[in-house]
Amino acid sequence: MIKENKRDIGQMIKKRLAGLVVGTAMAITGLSSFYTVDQTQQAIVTQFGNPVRIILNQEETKDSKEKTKEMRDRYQDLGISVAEGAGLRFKIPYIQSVTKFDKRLLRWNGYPEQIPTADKKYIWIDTTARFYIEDPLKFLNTVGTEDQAHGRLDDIIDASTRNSITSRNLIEAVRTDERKMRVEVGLEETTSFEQVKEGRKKIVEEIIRDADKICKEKYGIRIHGEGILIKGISYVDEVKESVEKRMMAERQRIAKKYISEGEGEAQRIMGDKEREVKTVLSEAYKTSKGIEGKADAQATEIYAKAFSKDPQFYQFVRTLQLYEEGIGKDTKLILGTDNSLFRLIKGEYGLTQKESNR
Amino acid sequence: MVIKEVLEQIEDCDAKNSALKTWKWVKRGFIGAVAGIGLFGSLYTVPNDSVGVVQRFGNYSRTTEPGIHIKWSYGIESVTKVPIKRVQKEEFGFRSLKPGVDSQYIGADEIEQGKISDSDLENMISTSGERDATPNQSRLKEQAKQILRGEYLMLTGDLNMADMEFIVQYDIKDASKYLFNIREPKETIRDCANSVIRQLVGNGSVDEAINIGRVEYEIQSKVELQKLLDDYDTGINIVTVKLQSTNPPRNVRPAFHEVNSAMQMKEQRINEAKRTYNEAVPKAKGEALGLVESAKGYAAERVNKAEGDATKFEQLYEEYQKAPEITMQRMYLETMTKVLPSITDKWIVEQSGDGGLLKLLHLPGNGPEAK
Repeated sequence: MIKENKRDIGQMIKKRLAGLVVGTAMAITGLSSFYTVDQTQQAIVTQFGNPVRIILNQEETKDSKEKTKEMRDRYQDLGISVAEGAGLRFKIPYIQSVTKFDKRLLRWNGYPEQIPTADKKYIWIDTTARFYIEDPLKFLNTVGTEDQAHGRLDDIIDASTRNSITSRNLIEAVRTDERKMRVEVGLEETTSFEQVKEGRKKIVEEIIRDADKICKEKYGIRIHGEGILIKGISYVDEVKESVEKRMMAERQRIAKKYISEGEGEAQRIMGDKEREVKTVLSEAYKTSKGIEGKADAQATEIYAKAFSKDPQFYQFVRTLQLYEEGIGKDTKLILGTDNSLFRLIKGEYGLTQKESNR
Repeated sequence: MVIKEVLEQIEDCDAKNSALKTWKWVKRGFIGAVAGIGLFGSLYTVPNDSVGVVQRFGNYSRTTEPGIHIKWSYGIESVTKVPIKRVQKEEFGFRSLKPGVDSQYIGADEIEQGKISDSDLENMISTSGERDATPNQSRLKEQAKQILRGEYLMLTGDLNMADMEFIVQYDIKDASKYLFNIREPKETIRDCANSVIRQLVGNGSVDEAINIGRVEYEIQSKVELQKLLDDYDTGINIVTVKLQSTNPPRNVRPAFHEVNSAMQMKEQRINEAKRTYNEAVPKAKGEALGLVESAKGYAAERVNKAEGDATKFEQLYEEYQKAPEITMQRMYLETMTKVLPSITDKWIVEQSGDGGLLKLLHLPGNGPEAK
């Protein structure tokens, strides 16, 4: 009985084990017939290495449907279907495999490049780009991985940057438009500004256009419409030194200008002062003399009016006054005996006009 | 089931029962654990400053607000928490060492002076987003300075240079765009900001960059940076762009200071002159006023005196008319009486032909000997 039981148990274990193996195999098969496409991804399903299905994962916009249609048209004849949207998806287990690519805007960052401009100025240009994989199948076939893509973009963007910069003067890469620049007082006339014909925006647009064309045609990569950025631009060291010298000279010129302006202004104010003082004083002189003259005239008129009543009497009175005022302690007086003062003594009476003094 | 059947073969009744009982508990425990893990995995909390972005099998499903939420577990749904209300900051041309402490930062000068530790430099280099930015122990300083220089050094529209340090503050306005449209959001903000600022600075003069155009640049760069990030559909919202220190290149700075001191000298010189003017002109005006007033005084005096004299004369004349001879004589004698006593030196001489006694006198300045 025990033996029988043991045999039964043995058979039973074998049976169950077989079941387990089959179950596991079925589970693995089941799982491998699912795959997920993340919201950030797009995917390609290949069958023995041949692409059979493209999962685009576009945001729904006006253009997105058109793009899907375009992709369908492009790949329908090759027997490749195009689907839209992230999420859980099915495939034939074992014989189909999935390759996923990012669908987001990706960053390419270049090395700073030393580039000469048309006016022979050497500058460092540091560019960066935003690109995305538009056609994952073309990308898979021609590029393969993102690392590879970076290598291609290095070549393409550096080349178109170089082309666009070297064919133009430096000012075109620096300025955007002809907006009038404001400068420190004192530099307006002395600084000569170069004319801008196209400007930085146009150059960048050109670089984007050139690079995007190649990327699209060859690799299924697109550069975003605003996707190339000049994030660094500076002079090489030798040029830098000469620019610094120029800047210093400019500033010293302003400094000198300020000092001489100060001097000039001060002189002007001092001149003003002189003029003002002299004008004021001379006007006052004029006025005062006028007043005095008028007063003199008035006085003369008054005197004349009074004295004209008897000029002779006036003369007499005035002479007496003169004696009174003009004869003092220090006067030496010599009186002749003819003098009217002595007339009484001599027996003569009456005053005559003959008087003298000394 | 397999195990259960095997267990049933056990002959010892007690042993069989206890084994079966144990098995039952093991099974219940297993089911409980699976259910527990499933339930636990389906609960999640979104912090106050964030939203939760839920994806089902990778496909965007929904965005949830702060609080506790349920999702499918076992890999069916996953959630990413995005801190949309947190304002984040990017620094250009320098780095703060401690967040919120502005006084401690990494700048080109600080690196040069050796104030920054190697680990801080390494950290700065590896987070710079620059290509080839693997810290190289032997040239850490050089690398770090290179990176900062790449950020602050700019060309201006008059083909001069300026050192511009600035910060960008931003938050996230659309979490799903932020997650699904762009892979390197931080680097993208940095690249865009570097480019936008350069475009603005490049279109203006060095004076605008370091001084007179700062406010406009801040406003314009915010607008243009936002526009660019919207073009990329990043879901990022720029809160502010702030220019920090904006300077001429280090070597040129003394020359700029010279301008400042010259400006001050100019002011000083003008002020001095103005002071002199302000002293002299009012003084002259006062003097002028004085002159006129004194002339008026003279005039009044002159006229009054004349009138007084005239009046006096007229009165005298009136009296004189009454008795002309007598009055004249009286006046004459009165005057003489007044005048003569005051003269100490008086000579009276006989008036004969040759002067008589006069020639005997030694009058100074009158006689021939007096010479």
